[in-house]
Amino acid sequence: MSKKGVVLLNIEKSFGGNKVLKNLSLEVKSGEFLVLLGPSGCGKTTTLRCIAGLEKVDKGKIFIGDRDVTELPPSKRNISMVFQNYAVFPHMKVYNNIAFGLKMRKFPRQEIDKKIKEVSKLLKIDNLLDRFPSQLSGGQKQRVAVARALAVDPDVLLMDEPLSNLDALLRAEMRTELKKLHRDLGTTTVYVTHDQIEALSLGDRIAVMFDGEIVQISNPKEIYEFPSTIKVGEFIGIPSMNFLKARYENGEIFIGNQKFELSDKIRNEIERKKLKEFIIGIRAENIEIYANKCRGSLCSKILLKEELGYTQLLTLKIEDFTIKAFSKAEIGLGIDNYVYIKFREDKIRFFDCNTRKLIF
Amino acid sequence: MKIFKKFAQIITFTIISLWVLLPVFLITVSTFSSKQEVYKWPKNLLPKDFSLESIKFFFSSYGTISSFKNSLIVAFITLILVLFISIPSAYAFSRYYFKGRESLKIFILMTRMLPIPLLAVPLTSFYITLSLYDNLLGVALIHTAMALPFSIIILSGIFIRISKEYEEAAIVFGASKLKAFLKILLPLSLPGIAAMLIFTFITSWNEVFAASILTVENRTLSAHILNLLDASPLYFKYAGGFFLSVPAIIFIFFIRNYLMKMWGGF
Repeated sequence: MSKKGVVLLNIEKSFGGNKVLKNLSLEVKSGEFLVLLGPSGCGKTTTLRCIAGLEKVDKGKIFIGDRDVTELPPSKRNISMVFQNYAVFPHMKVYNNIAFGLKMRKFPRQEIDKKIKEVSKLLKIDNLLDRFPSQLSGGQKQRVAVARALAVDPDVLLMDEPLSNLDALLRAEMRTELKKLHRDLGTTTVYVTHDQIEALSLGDRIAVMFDGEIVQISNPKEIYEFPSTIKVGEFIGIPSMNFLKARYENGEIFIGNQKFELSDKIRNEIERKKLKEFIIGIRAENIEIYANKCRGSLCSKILLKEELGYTQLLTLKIEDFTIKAFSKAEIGLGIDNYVYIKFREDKIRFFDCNTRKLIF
Repeated sequence: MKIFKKFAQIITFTIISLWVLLPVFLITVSTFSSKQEVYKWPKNLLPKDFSLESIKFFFSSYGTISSFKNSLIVAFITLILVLFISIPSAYAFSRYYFKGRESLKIFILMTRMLPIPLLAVPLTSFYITLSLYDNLLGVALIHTAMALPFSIIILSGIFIRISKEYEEAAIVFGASKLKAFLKILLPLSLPGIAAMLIFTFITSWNEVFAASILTVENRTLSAHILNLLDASPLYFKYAGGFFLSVPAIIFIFFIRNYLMKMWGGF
């Protein structure tokens, strides 16, 4: 398998007067599985199509390996792509679908045959080669699309929300399979999705995009634990990260009228950075819930209780803020009762009120 | 109430069907009856003595065979011209956005607003200066002009329905734009193109006015029959009507599924 990295340098792209990509730069390392994650309309698909050459960039350069491909048509870039709606040619049998790229590259017949047997076995569709796409299920079509993309031995494999049309069960199954496939083949992959679970589970790294810009690019763990902005924290994780406004007065931290006790280490950090007002971010699983008041706890009211089977999701009101927390043990208290909560100190993140960016 | 509605529906459809089918049926019956039978009244619902006499007479009369041939030639040229003009223009309409696209679409349809009788005199004098008068190519050109607007609109509708993703996939996998068109879009739209061509064929085959005013010697079948209408016996008219209408009916019968898809299935 050939492996090549991709570099995007200061890419700009507009449709009409609408600037879709704003000075976007990105490096995909060779052999890496990079996920472009963002809400719909953020420009992630456009980015992918620019790499493919289906869209021409207004400004900037694109490199695949050390080749400048900015001006090359898609056919000269040695990339392949899996489309959202599969785009498996309806008038060709599975065999010819997979063979299409190889035929265009003028491979000899025996080699095409060999290659098709190889990839179809890999994707477990070797028994479907003689069928037309209309005789296949969605999942099978998806496999054909992936097989077709892999058959040409691309330098870069591009995937545009490939699992979004599958039902939940199949999606989880295909996700695992794609992960395994990438581990075995090591093809450089750029994967577009708006589904954060897909992104977190598949990506070696995730690039989070909002409004045509990459706001954070890092490994999944880092993105989940240290979102670079409040928006990233809200977008990633189910439920979203909780955010509460806090202030530092006379050496103490307050959330609303409640005193919030934290260790000296954090207090010193706040002191050193001269923070007055800031936003605290904490994830639902890092909140501990107690029925009785204890040292350092905050008082909050239960607004809603959702049973999830393995845990309960509580919606709590603390001062003016609504937060969500998982309760590990069954709490005997119902709606409108008061509980006491503590935040795991090493998981608390501090954000700037104005820039809404991570401070520490 | 529901039964009444259903009943009304059945009655309406029966009347409409009879209104369309009865003349065709009577023409067919009369065509295959003997000459004497044609003049009889009341008519039989089935030919009493099945005979090919009328058809033989029709084809043996002067000018029929050659006009039949002319009709085929004109229709064939029209098909070729429509094919080579409508496919590229429909492709442009369906795949590219350009300034004035929507107005151009309407403008194309507007060419059909002018009735041919209105154009008769200028068209004839124009054809004479171009020495296209009484020329099959000339008839084919006017038929092409008549069939093109609908062909382009129908075909761009078909192209639009075929997802762009297919062509993009072909391009990503190494095809040029032309190859993507030839290998993907064209085969996928083939049923629609066939339907469009048949529509064109019928337009040309049945067109009578332009063919009549633009030819003298080289008549098409429809113009030939119209020309002889007053001077010919009844059974000749029946046979002529039969050969004008039957191809259209047969074609429409075969392509009605495609037509439904094209116009009803959006």
